[in-house]
Amino acid sequence: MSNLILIDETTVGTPANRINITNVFSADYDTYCIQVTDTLAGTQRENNSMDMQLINSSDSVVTDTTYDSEMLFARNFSGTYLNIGGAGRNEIAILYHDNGSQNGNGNMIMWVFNPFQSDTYTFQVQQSSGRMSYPSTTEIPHMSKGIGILRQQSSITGYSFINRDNYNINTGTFRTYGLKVG
Amino acid sequence: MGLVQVATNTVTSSTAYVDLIGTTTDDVYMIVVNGYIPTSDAADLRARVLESSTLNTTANYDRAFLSIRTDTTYSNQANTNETYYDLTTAVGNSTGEQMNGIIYLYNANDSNQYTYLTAENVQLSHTALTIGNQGAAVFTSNSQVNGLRFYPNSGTIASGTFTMYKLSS
Repeated sequence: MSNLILIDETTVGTPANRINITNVFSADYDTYCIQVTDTLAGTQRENNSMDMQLINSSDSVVTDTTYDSEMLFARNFSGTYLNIGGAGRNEIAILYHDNGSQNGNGNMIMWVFNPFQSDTYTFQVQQSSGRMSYPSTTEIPHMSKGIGILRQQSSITGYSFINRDNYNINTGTFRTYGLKVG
Repeated sequence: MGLVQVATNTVTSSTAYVDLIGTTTDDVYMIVVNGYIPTSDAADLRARVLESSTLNTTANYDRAFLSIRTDTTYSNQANTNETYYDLTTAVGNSTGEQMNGIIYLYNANDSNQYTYLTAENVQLSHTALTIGNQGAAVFTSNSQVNGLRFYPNSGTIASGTFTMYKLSS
């Protein structure tokens, strides 16, 4: 029997600028796997993307600059990685995508460590792939490998994606698994 | 795909090393390192293979990693003929500092193949800098490996949970 247990599967029904996945992290697990598939934005944009933020035990999205995040971003435009991120950010990860007419799907697998423990920071490693627009309306593939930390000793119970420029997130499936030990 | 646990070890007080034993089939294995904190500040987490549960310290460990950092652009970390897998960059042990990561092991049980791994980890270093080491490493000996030993390059392990799973259908 697998030790990877599905906790929640949320599929975007009504397009919205922000999608919240609540009450998925608990004392039951220390390590989680988040799978994000087939996201599409509602409106086309160059460099369209979603920021991922965390939700605390008061069901509030942590939006302040207590995140560190960094990723190597490869897109079919130049031959080198871009470094995106830094310290003191207001997102723990970024997922690039675009709207349906651009075939702009975003997909990501992320491992999250110790989000619920109130005496530790929350850590993540992730990798993503998909299609986006750059420059302007030119469709290109992309991939990333990244890391992030929420520098708060607080209990985190969920996560949230918000599309830039107040554009909607039209589609997407967000699966959250807990990894059982013992 | 499922993940079936084959070994786990939780450290809660000073411990020199952790052995995870159980790569007894030709499946891929996944190791989760959760909350590794060294007793000595700036201690790297290293690993070596176990053959019939005996440690192999020969100079047969190669690696190619990208080190992702929030203070500057990424760097390449590559070595050949080391005596260990080097997995991290000077992990800290002050408030909030620790390392977490995922490692996949390939061909460990096959005595006719090298043992390969891929790894992705995230850590706060001894300067509270966020770093992630992502890459691959190889144990360049055709031997049957039945596990890994994790240990810091100085001091001991203060805390952390090390768990190995078999990827199974």
